[in-house]
Amino acid sequence: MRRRLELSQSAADTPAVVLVLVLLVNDPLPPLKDTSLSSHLKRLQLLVGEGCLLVAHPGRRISVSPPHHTAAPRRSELPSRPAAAPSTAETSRAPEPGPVRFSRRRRRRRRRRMKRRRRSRRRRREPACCLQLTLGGAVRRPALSSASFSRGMQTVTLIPGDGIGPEISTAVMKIFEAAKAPIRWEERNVTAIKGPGGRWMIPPDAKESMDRSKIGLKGPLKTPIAAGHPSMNLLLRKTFDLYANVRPCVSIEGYKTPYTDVNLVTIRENTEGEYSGIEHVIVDGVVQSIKLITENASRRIAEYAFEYARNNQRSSVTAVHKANIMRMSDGLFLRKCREVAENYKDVKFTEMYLDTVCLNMVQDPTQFDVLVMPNLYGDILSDLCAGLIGGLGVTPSGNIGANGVAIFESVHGTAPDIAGLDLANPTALLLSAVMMLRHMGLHDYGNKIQTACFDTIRDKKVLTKDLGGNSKCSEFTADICRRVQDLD
Amino acid sequence: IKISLVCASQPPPAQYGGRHTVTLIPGDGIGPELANHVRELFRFCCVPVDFEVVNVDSTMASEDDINNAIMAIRRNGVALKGNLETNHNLPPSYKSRNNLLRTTLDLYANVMHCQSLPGVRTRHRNIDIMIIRENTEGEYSSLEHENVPGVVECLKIITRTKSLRIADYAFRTAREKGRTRVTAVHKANIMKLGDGLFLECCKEVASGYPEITFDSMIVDNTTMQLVSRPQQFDVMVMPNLYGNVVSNVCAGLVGGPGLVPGANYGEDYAVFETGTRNTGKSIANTNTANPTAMLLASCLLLDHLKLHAYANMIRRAILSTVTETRLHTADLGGQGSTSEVVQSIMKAVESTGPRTLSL
Repeated sequence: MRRRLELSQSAADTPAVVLVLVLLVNDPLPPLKDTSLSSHLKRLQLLVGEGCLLVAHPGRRISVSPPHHTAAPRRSELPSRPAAAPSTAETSRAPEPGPVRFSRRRRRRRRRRMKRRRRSRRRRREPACCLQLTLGGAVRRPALSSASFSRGMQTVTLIPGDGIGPEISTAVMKIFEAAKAPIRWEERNVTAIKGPGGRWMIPPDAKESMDRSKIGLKGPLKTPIAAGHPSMNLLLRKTFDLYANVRPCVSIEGYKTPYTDVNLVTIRENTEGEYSGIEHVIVDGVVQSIKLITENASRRIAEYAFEYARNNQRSSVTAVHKANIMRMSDGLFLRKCREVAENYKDVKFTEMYLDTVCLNMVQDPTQFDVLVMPNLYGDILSDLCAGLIGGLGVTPSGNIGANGVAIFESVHGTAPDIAGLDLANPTALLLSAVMMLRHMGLHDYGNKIQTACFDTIRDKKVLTKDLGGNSKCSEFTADICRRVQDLD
Repeated sequence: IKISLVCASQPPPAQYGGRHTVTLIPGDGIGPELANHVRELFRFCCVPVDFEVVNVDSTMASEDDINNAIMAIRRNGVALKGNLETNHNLPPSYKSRNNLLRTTLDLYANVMHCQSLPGVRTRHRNIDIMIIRENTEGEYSSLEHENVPGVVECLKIITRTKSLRIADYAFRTAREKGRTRVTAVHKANIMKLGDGLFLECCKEVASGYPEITFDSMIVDNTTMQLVSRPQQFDVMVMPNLYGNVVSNVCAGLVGGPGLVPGANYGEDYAVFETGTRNTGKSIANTNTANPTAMLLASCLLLDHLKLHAYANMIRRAILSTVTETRLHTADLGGQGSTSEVVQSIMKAVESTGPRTLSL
């Protein structure tokens, strides 16, 4: 007996929303009276049980197949996949030498398949009812693999880093354990190694772990000067195409700064712009540095910014630019932002010059909500905003990449002078981990841990040295663990 | 490299009966009303300065207006300028008028002195930063091209001559004003060749000024330090774009764009304007703009013309008005209007200064 639950969104064109839930059940269910989302999910939990495969595609149906030893889901319910087996006509023929030539029928089928895929990506869903199930963040999540979904645990690649990295990573793992978050950590080290062809790359086991889990949490990495290889952060960015750097800056109650009501998010393009690294010495004494702005990268970051604003209930997005001077490059960036804004009429879009933003930011940061900008301005502004809330020791940061990869990190340095002395402040890494939980859709756990962390800081009884206290890192962690357990 | 040992710009001689002629470019937005207030105040104080007004229409595509203004500045040697608006939706053939003026006249140093004023309430106190910004090259070279559709390249040019020149200007100014520390702001960890050259030039010049401490800081760390502990900075020298960011941050820290004047110095010319170069379109003709920045810029102009007595008189009057909190304009949280503030300044001048025209 099949029961269909329709869960769809109110707006027509958000890609990261699941629409239709199909349950294969053996017993008839009484009709649902309470249509709240949590009740739907509770029923799902009851019916699905452990070990079932949950296949989710954004914009398509979730289908639940019972454990593999029972009947597989019917083909019509699963999201459409490319045709698995070639037609018998081809297989019966002996393989031909030379270049592969497909039959006309096969080419026609291929064309139809491509057209179907393109149409499905473009198709707008009509609203059916008003419940919304968002699979976290602004990224289309690929299908969750059965391995990571077993026992409800999700795998996350943890890169402890150097200096104080290992201590703060241990602190975060302890807090997650106290919160009973369904996260399984896979620790990996990233040190640059020279791959075939002489190119520097990250170790293959780290890459393979990230590709599998898609989510990473990274501590501070040091870049030794004159090591011969580019910085590790740059390598990671290039390997996983981390195109968006997101830094939410929220004032922390209890950690006093001259600015008390900051609540904004800076979204910075991470791959091009002034940091393309293209520089030449034209003649002796004249250096030219090239700032690269491309249509694709600008569109991608603008789309991410608007998706983020929509999924996190933010009301406006401001594009920061200097198009009065750099007419073509920032002009292109602005044009792409305007084009993308057309598709997101529910989010307000404004443009502001970089100097005006800086001027207003230090006088009244409350007027800003989400800021999107190219690389250099993003670097300066995100650090400016971090300074407003108390520095890099309390600022979370996330890097979003193509193919659903996301790496969350703490942006402070490795602090080698206090490494190993149990004096480090794990707040930045902890808040980044909370960002990660929200990205994965585990909002409850994220809120719990964040509340515990802010309560501890507000209480001011056990604070690390940089927050103004003189407790140890382990005491700070233990206090947060205790609060997390109390909140349960 | 031949670095000019003469002071950057000598004031033009006052040939016509001891009166100086100064080019006045009203600009857009709040520019014209503030220019009128400056003229009114100078007439009241009997300052021996005649203004030659050159109107520049920034909406016109032809560059005749700005070329006339440039010629007037070449004639007179000194100018007081309001900001000219640049519509960034126009194609790249329409260049920014302000930028054109600065590069044609080679006004290579932009100097902005940000000081906390006693009567203005801000989050940080005791700020006293002098920002010296390279004004003609760097990211503002306006050299852009699109090789492939959808890919735009913008060139940032850093040259040894100009970097040495601005570094030398910074250290000389620090020495003249008795400052002890110069900080170079850069991003040489990423732009190794470009900002690396700038940093190298600064270090070279620093070796010739042993009494002044020289250090450097990366621009993102600088902005973070500025919002947490701005009192640590003394003199800062930097390329064009970082100068834009840092000067706006500092102006915001001391109370806003209405308080800080800016000066652009070249070898032969000097142009004075508000520090943050805003047109103030939204408050134009509402009598709510803060005239302090423009009036302090006119004091800098008088200092440049070596009319120090008048400059000090007007500056004292302005600062006494600002410290009386009830006479602040809207941007400082008060209810005063522009004309009220100017009247109060004139009263202060009359009560303390020499004989003036009757009110």
